[in-house]
Amino acid sequence: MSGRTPSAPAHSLGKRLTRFSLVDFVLGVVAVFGLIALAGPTIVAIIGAFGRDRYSTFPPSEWTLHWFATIDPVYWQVAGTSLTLATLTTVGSIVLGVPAALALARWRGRGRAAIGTLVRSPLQIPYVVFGVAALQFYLVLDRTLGIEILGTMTGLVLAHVVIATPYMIGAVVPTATGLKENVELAAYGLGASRTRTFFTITIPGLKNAIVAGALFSFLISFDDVPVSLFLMGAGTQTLPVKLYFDTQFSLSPSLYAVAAVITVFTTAAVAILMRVVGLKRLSGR
Amino acid sequence: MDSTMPMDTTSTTAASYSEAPSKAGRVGLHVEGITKTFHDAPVVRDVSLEVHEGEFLTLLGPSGCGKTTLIRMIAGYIDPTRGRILQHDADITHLPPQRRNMGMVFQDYALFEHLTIRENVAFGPRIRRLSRSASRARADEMLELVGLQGSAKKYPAQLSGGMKQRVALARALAIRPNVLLLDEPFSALDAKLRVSLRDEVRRVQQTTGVTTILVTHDQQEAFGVSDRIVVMREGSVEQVGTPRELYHTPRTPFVLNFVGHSTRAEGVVASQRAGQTRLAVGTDYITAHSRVSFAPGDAVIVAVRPESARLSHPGSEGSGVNTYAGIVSRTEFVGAKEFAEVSLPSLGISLAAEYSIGAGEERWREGDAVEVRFRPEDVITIGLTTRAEQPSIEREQSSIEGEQS
Amino acid sequence: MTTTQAPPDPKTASLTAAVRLPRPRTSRTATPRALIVPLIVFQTVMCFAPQLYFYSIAFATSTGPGAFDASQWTLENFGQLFTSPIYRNAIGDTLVFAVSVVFAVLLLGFPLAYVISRSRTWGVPLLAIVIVTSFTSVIVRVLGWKILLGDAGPINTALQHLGLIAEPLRLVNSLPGAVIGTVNAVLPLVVLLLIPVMDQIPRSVEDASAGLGAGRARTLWRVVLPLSRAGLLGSAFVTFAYAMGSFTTPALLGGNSMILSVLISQQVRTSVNYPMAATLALTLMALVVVVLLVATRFDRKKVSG
Repeated sequence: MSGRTPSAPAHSLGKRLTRFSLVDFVLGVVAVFGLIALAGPTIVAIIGAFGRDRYSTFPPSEWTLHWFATIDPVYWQVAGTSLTLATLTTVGSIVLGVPAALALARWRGRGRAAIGTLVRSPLQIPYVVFGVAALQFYLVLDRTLGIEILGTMTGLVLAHVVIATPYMIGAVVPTATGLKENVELAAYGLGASRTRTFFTITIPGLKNAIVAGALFSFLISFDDVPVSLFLMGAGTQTLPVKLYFDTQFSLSPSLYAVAAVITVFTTAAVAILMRVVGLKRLSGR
Repeated sequence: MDSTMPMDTTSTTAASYSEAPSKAGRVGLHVEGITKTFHDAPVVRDVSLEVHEGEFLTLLGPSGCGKTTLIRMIAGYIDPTRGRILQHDADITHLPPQRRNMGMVFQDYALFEHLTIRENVAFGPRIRRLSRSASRARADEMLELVGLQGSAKKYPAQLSGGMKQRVALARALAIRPNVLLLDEPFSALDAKLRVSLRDEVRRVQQTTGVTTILVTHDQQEAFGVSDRIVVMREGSVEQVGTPRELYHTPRTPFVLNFVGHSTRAEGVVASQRAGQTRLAVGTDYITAHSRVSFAPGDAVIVAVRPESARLSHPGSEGSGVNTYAGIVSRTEFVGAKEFAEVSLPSLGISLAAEYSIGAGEERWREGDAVEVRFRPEDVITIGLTTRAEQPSIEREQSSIEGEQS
Repeated sequence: MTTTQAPPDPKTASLTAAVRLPRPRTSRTATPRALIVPLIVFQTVMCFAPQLYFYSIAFATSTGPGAFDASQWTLENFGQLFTSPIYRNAIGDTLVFAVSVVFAVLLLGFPLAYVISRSRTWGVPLLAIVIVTSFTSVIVRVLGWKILLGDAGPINTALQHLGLIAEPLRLVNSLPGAVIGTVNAVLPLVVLLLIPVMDQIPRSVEDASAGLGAGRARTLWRVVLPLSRAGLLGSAFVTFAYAMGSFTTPALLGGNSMILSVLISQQVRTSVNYPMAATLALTLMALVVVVLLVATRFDRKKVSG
């Protein structure tokens, strides 16, 4: 790990020069507690999917796969909608975010900080507020220009791209800043046009960062409730929103089955990401 | 070599056009009056150069002297504020780098990390629409030229710094460039590698005959490989010449200081007759062979290289021109050679002398009285533009009458 | 692409110098700043402009569900904020909620980050767990909390067994439940923010402190903590903004104590009172800005004082 001086004494909680004091023990306990707080609910939810009782006592008295079988087919439908939505959002965030990240990383002169803040500002906005504002916007569009995008996939995608792109930028800018410009100059000198250089030299150099950003964008979109809540329509309900309603009004164990399936999916995606990008890069070290 | 030129350190036009003839003679690249100003600060001032076909030209100077900016303007990455660049009489000043057919090698190699070595080198040919097989063949040819044919399938990350630089060289040459440009290519390598790689570059350059421009701040490096050197300082050209010319006949104080060691003093011209100039230095005189005509009273920088000074026991050489009495103030043994600092009271200077220690040669010690002499042709003179005071000359006139030169 | 001879014209010279470079490296081949324009245009149209419009509705009068009269500007919506107990409570609850989240997150996040930074054996696996859990869906976690925090759930059962409480604590469908759930959601982010902060404090500093006679507790309190102050403060700000704007978890775990974001949603979906929703949104944004401003000023004072 970074930050360790090679000659420093082994100051880990495992072996140390100074005595292992009570304080360290407490620290360790709190850390473990934090970890349980992090992982606990997910694990519990998955286990709950296997319980027999309708009201999900924990730990379950009997184990069954019953609830997996009775998953309402509607869930697969909305899952499909969410997948499509997330994919389109990711594409949008790549198209808009990657050039912007490059421009930001190479920005010469003043204004870089200001533009950076401006472009990242959707991260600071409560998604409920943004969702309702977008709703109003779509209503106005309908009223004045007759454009009906409220409730459509397009409407959802546009809004999701807004909240997802800052994540793409956050993932790409650090790598783009580190890209050596001489490599592109070398390509120019060898005869490559700027467009060709962009696609054959610059983008491959950003590959890992783009993949990370794409995953963030995908998950942000796939997991979103507040924005989708206001912009959905009859045929465009998303998975998390349906789960949201069901959790509020008709909590049933089959929900936990769906939750378990989702978790498998997202964990697999993260595992792939860690493979491709590396744990260190993900944590920003 | 016998041209009489004005001692004007600002204008370079005359200097650039009348230096030693190049190997091939034909001029491949003209740089005319190139100036680059940035934020009102001139980085390159009115530089004019001729680069001869097939020659190895080096831009030499301290950091900030504008050499990198200049080479990047030649490459096309930067627009000049003023001036023109011509290649074989075609004006390429505003041509983008893609169309100039110049290969550039960068200090940080700038290899394409996601491509194999072969793909890196084949990149340029592919852009020029060579078929895949032809590009491959060309790439292999270049890799063989730099001795890396075995690494064709590897990736840049797997190679050492020296190897990466050779790949960069092969890549630049693969497009059969008109000019090869090298921007401080060895600075990132350790000393030994630097030497071996620069020899390699020179060898490749001589094999292929490509016109080459190298940018460096390392004088040894420049001397090791160049046909001609352009010494630059603060955006202007100080002098252009072969390494020998720069060493033996520097034209400006800066070039004198930058290239090699010397003992320097300020002198005033007492008289000049038949190619020999008599200069008043301190309370004595130095006689020099001069290629430039001076007028009595001109202020001149006089310099002698350490290896030109001969030390002997007092009285052993008899009298002669440029002979002075001195005391050794310090010696330093560096293996093959020894340095001695000799204080010469009559000239008012402390002279640095260098000599090799062989069998039978004297070893000097601190405090020894010695006689120092050097030949008039080994004295470097650089005129300063201001005129000196006259009084010491008048005092001298009477004694000159009675002297043979 | 060739143009005419370069005229020694100061105007053209300044054109090339308009792309401000710290050193004269590449003027012709620099990455054009224009690449960012599509995104900015998109964000202006889809995000900034709609928000401004939406905020302006706060000054309109509601004329029934889904309709409002914007012809005259009025402050009556803001008046309701003060008069109606629902809104007053909501504002209070929201602030209590956000502050609680910040404290809890820092309390848990500091040890976690410290352990990950310092521990050679446990550091990497802990980090991996933190990252993996951060990617799980928010609904999944809420469902888990519903079990964990339920009246008959493991926490209440355990506490009762231990004799600490007589009756089950109302954790689910209450503000504490919302706090717990939100802490869980934002903790990974804070841990990831704090790890570099911890990494930067050299271990030798702690050893020096121990050598000077300070016990572990004192070293942590008087050395490590102050040194990580900047990072802790930054995390506090981020967490505060996050908590103020968070929706899903408090909506599902908060029960009847609705925080502002949930209230806004209710105004839109149930009452369809856009002006009120806009008022609440404006209030929410204002609260975040004000608190952050006050906090930064407070921080600066402490530094200089």
